[in-house]
Amino acid sequence: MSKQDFDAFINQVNQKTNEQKINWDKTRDEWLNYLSGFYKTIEGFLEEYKKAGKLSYDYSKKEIFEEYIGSYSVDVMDIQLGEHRVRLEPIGTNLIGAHGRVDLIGANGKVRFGLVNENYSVPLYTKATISVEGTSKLENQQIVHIEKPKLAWKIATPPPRIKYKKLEQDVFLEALLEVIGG
Amino acid sequence: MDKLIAQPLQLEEIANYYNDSEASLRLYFSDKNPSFENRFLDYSVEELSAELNSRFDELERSTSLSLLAALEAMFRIDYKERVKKRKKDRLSKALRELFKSKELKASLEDDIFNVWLENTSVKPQLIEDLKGAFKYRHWLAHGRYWTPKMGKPNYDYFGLYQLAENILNSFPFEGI
Repeated sequence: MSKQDFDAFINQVNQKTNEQKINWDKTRDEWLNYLSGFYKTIEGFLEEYKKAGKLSYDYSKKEIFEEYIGSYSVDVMDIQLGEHRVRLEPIGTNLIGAHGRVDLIGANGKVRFGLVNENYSVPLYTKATISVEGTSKLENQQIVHIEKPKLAWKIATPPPRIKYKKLEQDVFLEALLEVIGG
Repeated sequence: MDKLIAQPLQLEEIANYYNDSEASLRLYFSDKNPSFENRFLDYSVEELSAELNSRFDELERSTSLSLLAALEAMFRIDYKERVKKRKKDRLSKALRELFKSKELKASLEDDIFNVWLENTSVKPQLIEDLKGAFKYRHWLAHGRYWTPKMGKPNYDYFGLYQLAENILNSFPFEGI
């Protein structure tokens, strides 16, 4: 076995060990809790219209498969406004740039809701720096014990220049109108 | 070394193309299209919706392919620039070493990404996301005839755009 083969092998073993350290069941359960909270928030936004008989909604089930997590079931919310029907469809939790996503889909388009750091109004990036000679990778990485960020649901504007808007009733109703084309 | 004709795709142009194409498809599949009745004469509402969604899926995939091509271009341009400029930093030296053995045939996923991982503060998870994204690109570019194992469930246009923007804004690329 060459050194290159050994390096590839040991990197793979270490990667698998790191993957195993993540408690994927906990990740899934946390995501489902946030999703449940998301639907409660949306139901709150729609309550006055539902009580007045101006709209209705119901839930159906959808299966999601995510690598490392496996298959699980989530609620999809269907909202009926007169002849218009829109859907709130969960996408998953093991995503790039967010801890979870739900898409609002209507005849006129799609609006994305991301579960992101509550302080973010735009996606934030950590600048990569070139390592200093004679130091190891670990020495060059700033080892900072960051507390898990508080997460919040936000509306993500489409690219380019993605922005996060706080999820409030006005913003949600505006998104609803946008996907309906009203 | 071969001269590259610099014509890299810009992320913003890709996003504008996606947004305009999406809006155009919606218009074409609506009764505002002057030839709507001829084109969709015997369609039910469900069939119309299914065909439109199929077009959106294809738009997502073709635009994702463009995003991934743009991402590859960023790394390849940087690779050539660092070899050419002969800078003394650790990353440039490591890429020059790679060039000595593999020249322009260096693999993006197996060689160049690993050099970045070993010689910069870039987070391993970001490189893993990139490697997964390029498995998706191979799947797109080679006919989608197998089930890919990518690590993330949703290498869709939106997620890939965020990844590409993250890389562009956080990596100290040369020549970009």
